[in-house]
Amino acid sequence: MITIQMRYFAFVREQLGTSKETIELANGSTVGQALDLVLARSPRLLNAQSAMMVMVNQSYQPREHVLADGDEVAIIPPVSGEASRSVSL
Amino acid sequence: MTEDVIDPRDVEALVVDDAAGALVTFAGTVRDHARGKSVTALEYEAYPPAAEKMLEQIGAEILERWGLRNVAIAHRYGLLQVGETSVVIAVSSAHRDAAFDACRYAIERIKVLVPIWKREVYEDGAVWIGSEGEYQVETGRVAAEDVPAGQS
Repeated sequence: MITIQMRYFAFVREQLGTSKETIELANGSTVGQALDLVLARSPRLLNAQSAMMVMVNQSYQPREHVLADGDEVAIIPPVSGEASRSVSL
Repeated sequence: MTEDVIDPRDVEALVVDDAAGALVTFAGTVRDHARGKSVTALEYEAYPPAAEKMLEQIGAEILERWGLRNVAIAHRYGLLQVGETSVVIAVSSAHRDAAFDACRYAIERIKVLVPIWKREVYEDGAVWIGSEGEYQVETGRVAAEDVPAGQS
């Protein structure tokens, strides 16, 4: 198992009722799996899943990025109302 | 990233350069209206270390792409009142075209990439900008017809 420090902000923080928590995941888990696990707690967050970006240790990472023990994973809801988030990083 | 008042002149002073023929400063300020409502205040929530890292990245990107002399960017977070400055971008360059273009590009990048969230506070509620169109119509907080999907 690996231990991940999750960080939540703005709308995500309000929906989950907390700004941070520690979760445990199986070795080899990805950003996408961590996101699925957390967003599944709120139907409204699940609906907005495609609009979410994720930072691992303060850098944007794609869904398939593999997490390591001790990583800080932040769920980043849209920052300014962009209708689409086709962003080149 | 700061929780204190930002004076655009202070940010501008950081980029002054004898080899520069142009100095462009953009200041974003809190507007008193949005989507047909009166805005009484704006709350900015930030992920400060990550926001600073992204601002540095954007600064480095425009410095290189437009061959600027200097770049300085300041962003405030916390509760801001109408008229207060939320963000300042100052760039200096040999010629004006590069300074204007770089400044414009920087604010657009900031609005997409930097983890800072804006919550508009109205007399009768509040809404997180960016999260309103797709999924934030809070019962009793803001009416669905007031938040067209995708509007920023």
